[in-house]
Amino acid sequence: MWQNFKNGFIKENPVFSLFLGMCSALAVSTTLNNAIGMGVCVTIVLVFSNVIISLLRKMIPDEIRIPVYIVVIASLVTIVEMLVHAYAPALYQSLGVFLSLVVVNCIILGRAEAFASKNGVGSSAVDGLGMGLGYTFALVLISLVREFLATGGIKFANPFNSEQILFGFSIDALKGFTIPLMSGPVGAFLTFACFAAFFAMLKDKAAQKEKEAQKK
Amino acid sequence: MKAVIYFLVLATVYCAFYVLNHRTKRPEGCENLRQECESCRMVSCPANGVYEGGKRNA
Amino acid sequence: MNLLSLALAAILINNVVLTKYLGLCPFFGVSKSSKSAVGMGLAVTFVIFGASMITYFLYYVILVPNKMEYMRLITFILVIASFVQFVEMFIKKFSASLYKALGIYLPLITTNCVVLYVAQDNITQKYDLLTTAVNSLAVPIGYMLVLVLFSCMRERLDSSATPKSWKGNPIALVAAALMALAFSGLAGIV
Repeated sequence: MWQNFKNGFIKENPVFSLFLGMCSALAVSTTLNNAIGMGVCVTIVLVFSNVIISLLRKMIPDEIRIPVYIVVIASLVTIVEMLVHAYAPALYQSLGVFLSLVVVNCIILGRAEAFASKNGVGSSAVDGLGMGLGYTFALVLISLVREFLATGGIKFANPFNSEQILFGFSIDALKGFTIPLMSGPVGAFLTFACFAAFFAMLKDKAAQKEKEAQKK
Repeated sequence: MKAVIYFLVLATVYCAFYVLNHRTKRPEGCENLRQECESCRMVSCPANGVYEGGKRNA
Repeated sequence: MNLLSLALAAILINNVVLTKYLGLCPFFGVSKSSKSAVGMGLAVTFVIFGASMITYFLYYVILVPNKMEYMRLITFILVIASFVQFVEMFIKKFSASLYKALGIYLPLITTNCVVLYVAQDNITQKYDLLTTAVNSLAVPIGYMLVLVLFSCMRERLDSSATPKSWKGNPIALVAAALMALAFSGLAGIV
């Protein structure tokens, strides 16, 4: 089980290694708040959809599995969207349409098809948690870089009460050197490219180590 | 109540279309088309390389 | 609102891929050759136009009078998915050549962010019928334009000597960044 969980972070990080869910990853990672908020929403939907689909897996006729998955995921996203709208309105405003777009996020449908339809409830939930946290991890990495370079500081406000800043720092000396371009699409693509290359290198090194271990 | 009925109607229509589409055979000459979609790891996409000969094998 | 300026803005200035970060999965997946890019673009245009019209009607004729606006997301995604299945079935039965050209991309379009985005956008921006039609045609045309341009660039990238970790998607992302930079120079035309 722990292996499933670890997988989602580095070896099969959904954003950097599998390149799934890129649309929302780039769009919402402008600030740390948005990144964590979106990551948590996706994780919740992922875990619950994995659990529900794993519970129903023996009852769904094989022919209509994909429609059923889409119906389940759409209902879950509607519920999460309404909850966010009610309890964290500032987050709802800044995520905008991307909260609705979670329903077509490739990660959720992909995990349901690849994992939850074949495994028990416990391991599906753990896998969903691993993938969701891997996604959040990726989003947080990107947003840290982008927010820092674009505004010279990092700020994290309480999602349920946007006046209260939980922690934040900003380096005044860098205020004259900020790159506002980083919060736009150019910065997004470039940051993502660098991280993707870095993770590809990590994966290569791990594969090489495995090959050498096998030779012995 | 209305919403539940409406939702069930939509879901049924979708399942019906999906099954009908699934059962319509591809026209001749189009059996082996493959998208050049190697970097897209969407396992739920039916044209992914994972599905060969109509069955999953990965 | 001037329809022509709306169309130009949707195609060049607020391009879905380069400024709104949507439709990236097929953008990096299907752009290995320009022929497949054209096929994908045409399929996306047709699906977006049809699905937007249908969801527009459904929203204003069924959801709003019955005060069921909260069912919007579920309705849209189910309608889009059903429409895609219906179109694929229709093409399979009636035109083999059309199926060869764009039928294989159709299942991928169900989970394409752009389709759901256009459907939602038409509602949140409160467009009327004609503006919806123009917007639903202009946005996918912009998508196809960028997809074709990018696939031409990618064909060249694949045959050049990139460092090992950057091969494939990372270097394509850098190319996309440069493309976004170039297109951002068009802001302010309209």
